[in-house]
Amino acid sequence: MQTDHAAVRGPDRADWGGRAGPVALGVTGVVSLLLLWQLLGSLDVVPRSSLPGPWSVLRALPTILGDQDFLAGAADSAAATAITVVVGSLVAVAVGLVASSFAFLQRPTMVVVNTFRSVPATALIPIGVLIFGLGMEMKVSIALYAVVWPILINTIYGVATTEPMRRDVARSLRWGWWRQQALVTLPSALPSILTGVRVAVGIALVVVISTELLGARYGVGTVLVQYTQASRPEVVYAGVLLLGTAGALLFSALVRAERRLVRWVHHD
Amino acid sequence: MTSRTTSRITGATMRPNRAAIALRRTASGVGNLWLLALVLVLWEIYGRVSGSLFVPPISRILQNFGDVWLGGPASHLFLSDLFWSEVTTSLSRFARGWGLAVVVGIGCGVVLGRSRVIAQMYGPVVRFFAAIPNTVLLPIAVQIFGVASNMNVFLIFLGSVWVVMINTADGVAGVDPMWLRSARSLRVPRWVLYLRVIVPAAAPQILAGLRVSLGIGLILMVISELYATTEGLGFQIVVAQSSFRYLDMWSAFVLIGLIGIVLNLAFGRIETRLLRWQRRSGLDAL
Repeated sequence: MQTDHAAVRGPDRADWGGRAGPVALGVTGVVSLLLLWQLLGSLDVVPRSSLPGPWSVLRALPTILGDQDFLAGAADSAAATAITVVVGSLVAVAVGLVASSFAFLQRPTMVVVNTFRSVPATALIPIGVLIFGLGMEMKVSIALYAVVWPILINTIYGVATTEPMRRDVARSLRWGWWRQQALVTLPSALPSILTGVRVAVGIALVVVISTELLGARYGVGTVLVQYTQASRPEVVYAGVLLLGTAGALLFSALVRAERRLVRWVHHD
Repeated sequence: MTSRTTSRITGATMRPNRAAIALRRTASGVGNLWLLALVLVLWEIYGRVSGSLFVPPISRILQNFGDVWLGGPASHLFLSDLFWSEVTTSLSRFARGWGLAVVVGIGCGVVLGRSRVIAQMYGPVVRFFAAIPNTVLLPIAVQIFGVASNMNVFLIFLGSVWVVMINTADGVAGVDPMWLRSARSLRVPRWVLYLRVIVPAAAPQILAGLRVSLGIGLILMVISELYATTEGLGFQIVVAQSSFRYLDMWSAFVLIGLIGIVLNLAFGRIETRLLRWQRRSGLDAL
């Protein structure tokens, strides 16, 4: 009976891949994928020129890490992402709070958001290049366009979930608009806003790298394009691997910071 | 007799009510558009006053949109030849890449959600791939496939498969154990367990993943066509840019936006239809 239950249950929701299980299993998984990667090359399923083996990619890591252009580019991309997220969050949260405070603005705002959101920011890169050139301005403005919508939507959703009781209390205490926003609405909406910001970080990174692939003067994307044109695929793969690792680390750090910041929220 | 009269009465009173509700709904739907209209009017004024080449007034963009993408014969649904050749090219790439991502994502997600061992082996890897900024894979996709349609399909697939997989695994792992036990005690065959219990129970979360992946897929469709291709919507933008036809660029943006809206609406329809059994929370009213 007991074993039967275990067989039926399957892993818990929080368990799968989220928390580190037995490390040995994780390592086995990675190693098996590396072997598959090696086999794909050795058996000539995919030509070496398009998929270099894991060894040569590993050996290319020092090359890309020692490349000054790559490091400077990484700093540039990180700066663009950071500026975008900070400015975007400030603007979107402010607009979101104002839009949700007035009943007649709520739905019309969602209509505007959904209309503009449906044009992917990456499609706007060519026009951004024409207006802002190939520098930081262009990257940030295109990424801002992408980032504002998810934060705005999450702010409006978050405010909508504010407990009506708290709002009534604030009103019966005759608090002004500012005080009510700062002490009631914003704390209630914070978990939702932070989720929006986390999503926004990912989007900003994608858009910034896209602008670099499509012509921005500096950045990791620009360097990767140069290596592609110099036909050094192993260096390109090493760079992608590095960026993926950085992205994964950033993402888990954000999740942890988010949990810490809104510890007072009940997780159901 | 009495029941008949009451039913007739309620029927009689219901009909104008329903019409009134429908009318009110359309009225409020139109009423919600005022802010959008205001934004577009401000754009129009800005475009006219600044006289900027790069940001033309919206009326000229829409006029150009009509000239370039519409205006075909009735047999072509009033859409131009360019529309048919470019949009079908782009959308067929999208459909192939996204369709493959849905099949592979749900398949692998169910396996990950059901088997604790496999989840512990490959869960971290899947999360790693999901965290890679998608567009970084563009150079790799070009490396493997060259400038061909398969490159776009591959990128769309690789970008959207992880969200589907993670959401499916989350949903499958979270299926109420009681349902599984009931199914087990009814001795349903394995495939019935999967098709009639596990996948439907995980459907809300799977569909949420599909919705996110839809957006990602569209973005990757456009960006991969901007980066390297010889046909498709993104290519039209590149051509318009390099030949200084800014109006054409803007009307391509409008078209891409419309495609996004139509796909999202269609998906929303399918979603509410598939999830009719689920009690909706108040937030969906927004």
